[in-house]
Amino acid sequence: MQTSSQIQIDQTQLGALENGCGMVFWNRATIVRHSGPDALDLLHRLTTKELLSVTEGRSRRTVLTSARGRVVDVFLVAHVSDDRLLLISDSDNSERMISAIDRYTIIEDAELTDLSDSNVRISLIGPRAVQVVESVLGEVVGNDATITAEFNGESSTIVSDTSRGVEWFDAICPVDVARDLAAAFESAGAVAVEPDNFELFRITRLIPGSDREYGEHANPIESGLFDLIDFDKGCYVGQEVIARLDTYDKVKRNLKVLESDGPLEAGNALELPAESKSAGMITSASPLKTEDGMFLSLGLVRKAFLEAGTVLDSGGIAVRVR
Amino acid sequence: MTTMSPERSVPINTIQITEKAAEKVSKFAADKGMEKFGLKVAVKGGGCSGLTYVLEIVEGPETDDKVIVYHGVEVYVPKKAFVFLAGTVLDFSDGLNGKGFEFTNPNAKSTCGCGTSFSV
Repeated sequence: MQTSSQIQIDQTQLGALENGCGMVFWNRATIVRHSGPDALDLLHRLTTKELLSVTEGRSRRTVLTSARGRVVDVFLVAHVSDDRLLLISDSDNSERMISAIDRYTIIEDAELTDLSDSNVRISLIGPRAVQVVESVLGEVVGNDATITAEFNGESSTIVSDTSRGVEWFDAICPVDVARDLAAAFESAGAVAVEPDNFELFRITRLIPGSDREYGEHANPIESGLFDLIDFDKGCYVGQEVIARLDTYDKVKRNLKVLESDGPLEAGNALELPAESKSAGMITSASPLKTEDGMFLSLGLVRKAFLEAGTVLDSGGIAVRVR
Repeated sequence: MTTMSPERSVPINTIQITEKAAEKVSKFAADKGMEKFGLKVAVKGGGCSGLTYVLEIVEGPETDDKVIVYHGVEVYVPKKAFVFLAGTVLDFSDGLNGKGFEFTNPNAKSTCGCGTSFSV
């Protein structure tokens, strides 16, 4: 059995994500086709971002919230062609997105098709990702653009996502060509990144993850998704609650990077040392020890304890707010 | 036996528009120069509470619309939307503090602040 001390950071993989092109092959991600003349307008009315200006060939990430203002899913809306959108989410639970949208599809001419089993998502991350895509598919994908390209006789969709604070492209392709496409990306300079190393990168860069930092347990503001909310777009599901949280400064927690001398466990509570007072919760925890000898985690930390250097406790391990 | 909604005593197999609402609809249609018209009442996804009312003056019903007549005004309700609207009363309140067209919907568990969206 592999213990945390045996798992090593791969500097080549982290270096590729930071300075080159790292490639993440998703075991399963939500990939849904949303087609019909009312599809975009419906999503605009349901989610946090203004979407009517996402014309053909463009993309934008948005948040679907519940009427209580909690996060149901966060997904990229890629406008592939006239009446056809591709919805891409980090969640492995495609049924959740589909049922949430389907619930509000009443008179709209729009249809949802789950492509999560028949297609694969490969993410290319880092400043050289755009060159890797161009080298393999012969197309330059601009910021927040969506293109369709041929590879091995099959159509693949490449989508740029600028919402995460790093250069990020998602390639969506049929299962049959996924291994060959990934191999072609590697030949062009992409470095395959293992899950633990990607997780550490995500934590370091404060990139919120599905069912960790965001989900039914949190609202999008505290989950680090503030930039995915358009406060002047008008109504969407949960808008009144989210607007009130922001207007009256009612958000009680913020997403923070945490440091500790030992590995932490996601889901565990954060407390004030020697007191049982809750200070938040650990949402993601890396099992990898950094060069500095620390373990890094993400946590939803109550506002009173956000100052850098604040020392908290989780299961007997001292935790410092970064 | 006819089951009645608790608030306005409207049978649940129909929707009703008040005389005042019907008058306003007729006036809006006349202002638009429409001789043949009806009021489309529907529900679409969206809004703070998830479902939003749709009101539109149209020339006639579509194939799948249920047609109801109140105070001389034809009301067209798409069958897919009817389940969310059964038993609803549509009224009109004017004046400086009036809200315009107002829905009293017994199916709505909650309504947003402006009254244009609801949840079931």
